Amino acid sequence: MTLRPPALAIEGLVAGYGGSRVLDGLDLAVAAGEVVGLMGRNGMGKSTLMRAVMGVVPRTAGRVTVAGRDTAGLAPFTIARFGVAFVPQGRDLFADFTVMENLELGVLGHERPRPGFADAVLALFPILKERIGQKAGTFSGGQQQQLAIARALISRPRLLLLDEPSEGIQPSIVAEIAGRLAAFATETGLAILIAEQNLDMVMRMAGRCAMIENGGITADHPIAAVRAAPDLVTRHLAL
Amino acid sequence: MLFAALDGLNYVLVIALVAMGLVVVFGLMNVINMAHGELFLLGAYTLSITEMLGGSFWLGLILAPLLLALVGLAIEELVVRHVYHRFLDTILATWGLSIAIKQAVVLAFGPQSRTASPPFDFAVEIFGAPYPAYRLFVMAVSVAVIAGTFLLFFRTRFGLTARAVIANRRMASCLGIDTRRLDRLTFAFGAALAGLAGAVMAPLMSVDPQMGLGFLVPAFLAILVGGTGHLAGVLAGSVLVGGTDTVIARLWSPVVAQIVVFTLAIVVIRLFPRGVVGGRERR
Amino acid sequence: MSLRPSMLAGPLVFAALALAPLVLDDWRLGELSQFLAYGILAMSLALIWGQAGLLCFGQAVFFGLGAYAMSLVTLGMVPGLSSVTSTWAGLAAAMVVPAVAANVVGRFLFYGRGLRGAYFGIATLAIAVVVERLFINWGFVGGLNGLMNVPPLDLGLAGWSFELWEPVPLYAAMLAAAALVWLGLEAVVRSPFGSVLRAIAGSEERTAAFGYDTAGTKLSAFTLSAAVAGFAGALFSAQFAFVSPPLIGFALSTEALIWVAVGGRGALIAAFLGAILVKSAEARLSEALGASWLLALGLLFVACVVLLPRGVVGELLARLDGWWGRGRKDG
Repeated sequence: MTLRPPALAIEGLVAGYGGSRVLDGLDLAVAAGEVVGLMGRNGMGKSTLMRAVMGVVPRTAGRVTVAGRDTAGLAPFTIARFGVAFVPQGRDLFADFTVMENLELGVLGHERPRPGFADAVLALFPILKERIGQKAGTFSGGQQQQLAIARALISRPRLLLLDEPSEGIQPSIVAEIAGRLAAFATETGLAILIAEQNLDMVMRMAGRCAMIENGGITADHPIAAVRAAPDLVTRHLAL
Repeated sequence: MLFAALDGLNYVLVIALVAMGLVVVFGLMNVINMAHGELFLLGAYTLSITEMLGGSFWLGLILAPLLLALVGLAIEELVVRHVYHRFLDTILATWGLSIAIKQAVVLAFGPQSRTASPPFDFAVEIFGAPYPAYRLFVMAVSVAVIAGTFLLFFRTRFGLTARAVIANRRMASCLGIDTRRLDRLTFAFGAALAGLAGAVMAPLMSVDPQMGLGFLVPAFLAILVGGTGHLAGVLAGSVLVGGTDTVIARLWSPVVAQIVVFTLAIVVIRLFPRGVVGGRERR
Repeated sequence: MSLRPSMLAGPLVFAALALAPLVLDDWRLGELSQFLAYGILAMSLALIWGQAGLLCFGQAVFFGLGAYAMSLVTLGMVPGLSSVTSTWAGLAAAMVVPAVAANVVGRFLFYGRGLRGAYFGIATLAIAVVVERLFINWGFVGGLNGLMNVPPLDLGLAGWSFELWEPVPLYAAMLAAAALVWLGLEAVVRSPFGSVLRAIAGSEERTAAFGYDTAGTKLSAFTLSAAVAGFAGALFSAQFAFVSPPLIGFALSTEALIWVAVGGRGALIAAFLGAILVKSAEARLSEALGASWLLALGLLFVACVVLLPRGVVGELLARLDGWWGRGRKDG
């Protein structure tokens, strides 16, 4: 077995807005092919962590490496080109653009993907293929989420950051998306970090569940342990 | 009457040509380029000096946008890049640049006005009366540039990424789109359009260091009146600003026309902050 | 409020300027008197730009309106009021006319879906161009030639006359006027009203959400600023004895922006010094450098905007305060 650097390694990360320390010395690693759930109450720093990894929120200390490459001081587009894809909370689709254009924007900033890869991504979400010429803004929440994930995957990332993907989506669709994504990750070796409040989605996909509290990781459970005792997680989520 | 209409159309198209470069830079980078008039000026000088050195009009017409694209790249790198996040300061910084450029031109070529010759000065008959062919050529260039800009933004990959950056700069960057490169290219493109406009207009104007301001303000008013959210707004704004100006100048005088048009434009901008075509409001 | 070195800047500057008659000859002193009027104009611009974030490209419109109002009154050219020619009436008109103009323009621009940021800047730029054109083509105020033989300042009252012809008394009066304006505006800046202005510059929405009448506050500041600019214009015209359209337009408006950007938009005294320093440098250097002077000034302006957003004087004051604060903490 060759020793591969983790898809994502975060050490002592301090980050926040306007000098605040939303993240305060956070450590976390996600191995290639691994799916990690990141759970915690609102305001504990889940979204800030995603954005800090992406380079959107300024970091004041610590180290973030993607597949062994340091990302300090890099613009979001450079970090994206290291193989990080981001589906932000609220999805940030280009609402006035068609499905096709949104997907194209997912690849335009990257090297040409292997032929056939786009088809494999579209095969995950057949609805997109049917409505390829429709404007993204006309989609339902679930369809938009599928498009946002497809747009992220189509660049063939090694790491996918998903921020609250289940928000505002029917549970049945959440389960469907989670199942397909988990299978896709196993097949392709994609690492996923998924910030959620929905334990069901995390249990369906993740191999591990990390708890974030006051800007740091306070617990890290294998998913089997969470399944056996959901209380491990839920007591941290309760207000 | 017909010639008045043609002259009016000519003015409208020239404003649109100048405004096109402004709105591309404003829309994509949220930068108000107050030095746009001086880039126009440099374009006119490029043509005039190329001709003086024995080059042809056509050489000057090609050199002007190329040279100005380089000037645009330099300005973006040295000045504009450092004030992106301070919106009002982009106005001031480019304003300072406009003063410096104007003065550099005075130093290099003197304050006096120069001339530029059109490549042809025959007249064509339109409904039995002669009209200068070169003015028709200017209109054709303007229409071609406007059409080309539309094609670039709505039919090419560059245009798709540019529109994505306009819609959501941060998300576009997260998707791997090199926003820095796009900013450089956009500013260079805007500067090249100003240079082309200056070169093509030079034979019709007195080429002097003050010529930039005369077009800058109407062009700004045109994009604000039309709305900055959409390229079509430029056309609507140019028609309103240029058309009103031509009509009033014909009925009264150019002075009255300018006063009325500027005042009306402020009223329209105040009543329709998104422009008559609509689109996003900018701060 | 704890003591900071920058708070001493104002008194020190005015104390130093009070000593100028001891070292400058009459001609230089007269020149400096005019620069004091520019300094007042700079402070009026710093009030709305530095405090409220209103980037005004037409501040000289108010300066010019003040200058013309003063001249028309003291020359006895106001129809029906040709017998009222005192300096005091002129000064009053020079403040009321621009204030009313600013109030009318401001009411239109600020209320409802008001114009902000760049839109406001471009609108004021267009206004400056229009007003200059208007005055060039208006025969009553002398057109391009302007008005000549504007009487000097006369501090007399009730038939008794005290004309300021001599350089030293004139300078003293100008300096007193500038100091008074500084004190008055400084009081405004430090009042709760000033805090609201700075809050508006930070975020107008948030300030409005706290229940402040942001449009009304901006309107008051804009009106006050115009009155001060008009006052400066009146003082200028009376000592220059001549007004013409360049005083009201776009070029002087731009110059004022440069003074304030170079001096510092954040502090009134920095803006004031910016005007005096730039104009003094211009007086010394423009003959030697010729056209290069404007090139250098343009580049200096760009450099200040990009590298020193607080301006040269403002940056210096801020650093002094920083050292002082650290020194006291360490000690």
